[in-house]
Amino acid sequence: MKFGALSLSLVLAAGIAGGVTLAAEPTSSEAAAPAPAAPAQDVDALIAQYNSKARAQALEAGESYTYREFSNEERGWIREGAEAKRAAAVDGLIAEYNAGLSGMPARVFTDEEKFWIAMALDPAEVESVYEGHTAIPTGNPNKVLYMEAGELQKPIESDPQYGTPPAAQNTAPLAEELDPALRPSLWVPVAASETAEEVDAMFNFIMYINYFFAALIAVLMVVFCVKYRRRPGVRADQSITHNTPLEIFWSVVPTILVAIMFWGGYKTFLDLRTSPPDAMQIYVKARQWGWDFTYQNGVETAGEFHVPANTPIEMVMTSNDVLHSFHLPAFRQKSDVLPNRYTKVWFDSGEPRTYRVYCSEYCGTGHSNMYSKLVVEPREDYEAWLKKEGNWMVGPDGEYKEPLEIGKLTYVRRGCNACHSIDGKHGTGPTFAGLWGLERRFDAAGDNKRIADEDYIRQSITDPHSQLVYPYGKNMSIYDPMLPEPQIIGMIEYIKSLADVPRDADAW
Amino acid sequence: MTQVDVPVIAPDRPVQHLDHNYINHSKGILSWLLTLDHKRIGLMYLAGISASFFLGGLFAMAIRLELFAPGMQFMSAEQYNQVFTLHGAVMVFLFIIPGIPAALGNVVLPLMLGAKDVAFPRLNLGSFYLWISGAGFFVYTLLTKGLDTGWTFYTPYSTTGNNTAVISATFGVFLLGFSSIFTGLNFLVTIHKMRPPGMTWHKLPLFLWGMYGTAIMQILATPVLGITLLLLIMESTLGIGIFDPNKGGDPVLYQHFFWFYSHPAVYIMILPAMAVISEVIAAFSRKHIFGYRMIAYSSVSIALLSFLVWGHHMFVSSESTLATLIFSAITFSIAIPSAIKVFNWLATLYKGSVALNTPMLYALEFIWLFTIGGLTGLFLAVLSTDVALHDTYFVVAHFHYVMVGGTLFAFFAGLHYWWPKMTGKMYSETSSRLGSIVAFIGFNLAFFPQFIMGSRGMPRRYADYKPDFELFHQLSSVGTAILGVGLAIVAYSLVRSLFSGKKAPANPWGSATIEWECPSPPPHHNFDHPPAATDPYDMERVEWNEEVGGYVPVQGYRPVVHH
Amino acid sequence: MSDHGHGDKPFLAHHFEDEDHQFDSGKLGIWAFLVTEVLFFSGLFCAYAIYRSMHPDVFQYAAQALDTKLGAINTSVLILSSLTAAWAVRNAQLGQKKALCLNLAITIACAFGFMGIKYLEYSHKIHLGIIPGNSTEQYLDGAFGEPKAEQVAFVVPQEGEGEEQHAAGGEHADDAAHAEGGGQDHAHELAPWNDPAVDGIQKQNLAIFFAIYYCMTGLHGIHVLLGIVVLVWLLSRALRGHFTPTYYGPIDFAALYWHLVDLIWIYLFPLLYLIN
Repeated sequence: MKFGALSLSLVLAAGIAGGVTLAAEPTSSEAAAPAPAAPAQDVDALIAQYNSKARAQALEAGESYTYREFSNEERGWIREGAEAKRAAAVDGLIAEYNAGLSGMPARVFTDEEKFWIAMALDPAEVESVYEGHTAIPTGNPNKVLYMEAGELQKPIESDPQYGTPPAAQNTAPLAEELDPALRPSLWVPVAASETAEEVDAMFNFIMYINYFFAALIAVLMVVFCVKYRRRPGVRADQSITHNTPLEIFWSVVPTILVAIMFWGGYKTFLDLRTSPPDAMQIYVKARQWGWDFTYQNGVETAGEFHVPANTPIEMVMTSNDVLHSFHLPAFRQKSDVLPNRYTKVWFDSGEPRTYRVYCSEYCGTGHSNMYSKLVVEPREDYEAWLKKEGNWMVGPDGEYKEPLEIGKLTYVRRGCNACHSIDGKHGTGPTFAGLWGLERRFDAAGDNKRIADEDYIRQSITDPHSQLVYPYGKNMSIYDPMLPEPQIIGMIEYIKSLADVPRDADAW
Repeated sequence: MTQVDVPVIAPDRPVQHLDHNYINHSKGILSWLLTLDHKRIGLMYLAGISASFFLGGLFAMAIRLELFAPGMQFMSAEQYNQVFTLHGAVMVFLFIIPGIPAALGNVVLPLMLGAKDVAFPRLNLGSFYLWISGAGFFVYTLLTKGLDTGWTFYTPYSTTGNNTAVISATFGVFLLGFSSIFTGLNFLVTIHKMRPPGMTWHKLPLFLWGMYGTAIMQILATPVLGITLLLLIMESTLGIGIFDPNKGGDPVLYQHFFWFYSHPAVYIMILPAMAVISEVIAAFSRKHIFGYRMIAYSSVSIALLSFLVWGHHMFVSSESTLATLIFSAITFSIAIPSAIKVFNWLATLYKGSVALNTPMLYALEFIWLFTIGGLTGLFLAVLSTDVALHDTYFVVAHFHYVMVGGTLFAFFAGLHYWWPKMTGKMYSETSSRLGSIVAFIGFNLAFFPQFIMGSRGMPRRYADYKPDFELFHQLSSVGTAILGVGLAIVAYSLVRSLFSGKKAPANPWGSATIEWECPSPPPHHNFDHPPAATDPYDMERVEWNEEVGGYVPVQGYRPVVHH
Repeated sequence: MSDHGHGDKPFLAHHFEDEDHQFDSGKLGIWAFLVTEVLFFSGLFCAYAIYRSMHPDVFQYAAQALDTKLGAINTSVLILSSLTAAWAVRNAQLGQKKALCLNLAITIACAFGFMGIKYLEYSHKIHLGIIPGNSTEQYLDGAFGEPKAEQVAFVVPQEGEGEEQHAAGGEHADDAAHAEGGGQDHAHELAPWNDPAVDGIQKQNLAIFFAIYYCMTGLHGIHVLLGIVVLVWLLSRALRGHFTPTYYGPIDFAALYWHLVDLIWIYLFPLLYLIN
């Protein structure tokens, strides 16, 4: 029994290291390029994966399958196996790296660096990440760009250890879709899909008609004004009061033109609205002020989302608070995101590239910073990213990180930082600095008050409008079903840790 | 009041300038504040909307200054949101909607009809005070917590957890709405019941056709805004939940209600502008307007169709595909009457005797700007391109070309056209023309780059932007500064004319409509006897008289009937 | 003064040619105003139609809280007042000053009667805790979760404590109507809503019904109040003998307005009270 469990765990862990976690089939590229090492896996995920594989096999064989439960002991074995495999994979990569140094003394990696390697980084990159604190914050507080040899490197997941929440929001590089080399014309960004090209075709059609009519009207106006300018002795021709054939002509021609526009636009609009049945669905929750994405396998990510290249993607969206609008200029797609229903947009992801996502429906203070980034990347990269993203609360040891760590990460990932500062300045919401243990007043007179303790913080997260600190309004999203327990505990710990940070006098 | 203050008019030399006129007819502040004279009410409106325009313009300058460079310059995001909201709300509700109908219309409409006043003078004064109280609520909003919802007050942002003075602002708009309704009602009845002998519907000047269409929309659409805003106020104060998704309400319902008013409101803004342009183009071409009936009917058809297109504001707000199809189709049908008008104006220039006085300059600029505004509207009516362009700067540029390029320039055209009649003073053509041209250049520079930004994806209502769009924003800001300089020259020229302008003759431009038959400025009673109406575009009816410095009726003139 | 330029006709404004001209203009004006009023209410009727089609069961249930009897009395009161208003116009046309004053007075009395009954209805509901807006929600929570003694009256009318309180308040009409109209055992009819399983969404929708109820009847009530002001003013003018067979426009216009107010109530009554 013991042995069986161990072998099972090893099999599972090996599978993960080989990159089969989410891919349809295992990749065989492990030998050629060092595949990302397995980050510490949640045991539950491994078990779920085991069950789904076993179930698939059973179904293939025409048998029924019952979900297998694992005892605590078995789970321990699985974790050990996974860790062993992960450690082995990291060691293997390091060995490979050192072999590549050819002659130079082998480099010794610290535990921290090993953690980064485990987080899917090439050992060669680790130095720049670890050493180079020249972090460049981006619009997305979860993403930090690193500079190496004067060039921007691929963004990696930030960690409070390495990157601080961004201060300046506008230093993001030029959006790829606006790159002059990719733009089809002065007017529009790159057309990232066929549907976008159809939209552009209509855009251009209307634009040419506009050029024509604008020129016609301008020329006639100038010519008439010059030719028939007022001169002594020259009188206007009063006989021209109307001309029915001419008037019919210039009513009918525009009518025909707009009929063409209408029909063409409608047909493309149907394409924009109708997603193919095999589209990959991603759930989107918009909130003030950020985007949360949930993948089919339950992985949640905030701010940035990745999709595999050349795949139809459908975004199923709803809002946590007010109206937002999901705007993808490169795909000529947009839909409002409403609090009381789902709306959908779809796009064919096309070539690997990154695009900006805007919120284009006015939603308050942070509206103009409510960007997200869409990263279209090869399927392998996408899968590696998804794996990494699914495990942000888990440390290198395969266990949940310390609550404080999780709290710090939650603070940025969940967008708390949009309204609650940690430096004592007051924002849309109260600052977290020095909040712990403070007396909170819910009205001007202070008749209604409470000490900020664990219960207070929990209630503020799950039911914020039940205790509004005077004079703040009902701005906060209700995180009741959204925030899992470890994150709530994390937030409590985090706020506790900020208890001694001084807060401004005007920060209530 | 007796009628001795109007000197006996010699048949060959009508009185040109009247020293004792409606402006100095009675003295004291109360004689203005309690006046029932449509002309005085019109002037008070003019003062009010000019102040509003100035205020809205300051907000516009602040917006463009802030957006001159990426990153926040001198405002916080909250302040920016308040500034753009107040810019929109002040400009739309306090300036553009009442601009032409209430200020110019009040002065001109009864004069054009040869009437002594509008049908309900007390109601007219009431409308003005409703406007004043509405404006008062805006000032209150401004001085207290401000407003950051955008001028559309979209729910649930405006109702849940909004800390700004939404209630006072919406109540202000509610009052302004009723001011607009009563003005429309007044004009509707006046046009119906107070036409002079001989003025059949087909001899109605086109300005009055435009005002008639406007009145229909004001009466039919504005009450829906009224009730919507009342519901919004109830929602904000009591939380009744009709628009609150957390209470089973539907926020999109608010959008439907709002745009059911606000789309016709767009035409409430532009129809009077088109009406002014029809008058000005004909007068300065000294030629009968081309296609009178088509222009008149297109005004009314725009008014009626405007009620059926509100859904085109919600193409991407989860509207059903069928609804988008219908609304898109009807939207195109409303484009045709507008196109017809532009062609008719051009045809009026043809073989005319075109003088480029200031009003005409504005009218020609209007044609260009309105053409751009209208043509770019096609992108937004086409469903596929609208999905890409909705809520971007493209929309901002489009409606500024229509609302500012259209309505504001037409307002200036009308203001300069009727200025001699209203004030009895001629302004300096040189400085006014200069102001007009500078404003025109500035306007194009300010808003054309926004089309490019928008079609590249820049969303509207952003306090901050990425460096990719910096160039366009900077061009736009520079253009706004030039526009501001132009408008300052315009204001300077008009104000200076009040003090040192030449005395205006009764008919300085050679127009054939009735308002030019009374002296400038008109007496308190306008006309002793209702003048007989003829074809309002029979320009040969009047001829230049060097001695008078204006146009006088041709003695023994018999109109030629053209068919 | 300039306003009264026609010496022998004190109420003919200077800018009109004659009385007919003035009357015709006023008539067109009042009709245009009535159109505006109809559209003003149309927004609410629209909201009503949308939410009723979304939640027909909620509306049917919630309407039982409204007192049909009082509603019916109010309807007849308004219809009577409309009759007297129309009669007053005829009196004015014929120059019957006394009858005119009497009819106007009856109309005003009916309007006050209507508002009085409305006051009873409102205060009863407020007493029950059905207040528009946020507090309705709290009330409904109480009513459908753990009923509070005072609030039970609405949900389970026959329960002792609630009834006593009502009687004490002198507002038992509601209970009586329930008992007569809806059979003896209301608790059973309403049972599904007492079920703790009834989810919050349905309770919210109930709040929307009352929101619409208060908005529609409230706005109508404001119109009745305005009507009272206008009618009192006309009565005072009628007493001073201002109206003549050639000058009776204001009476006619006010009567038209009053008919519209009446008409709106005639739609409101079945839409809100008689949902079955």
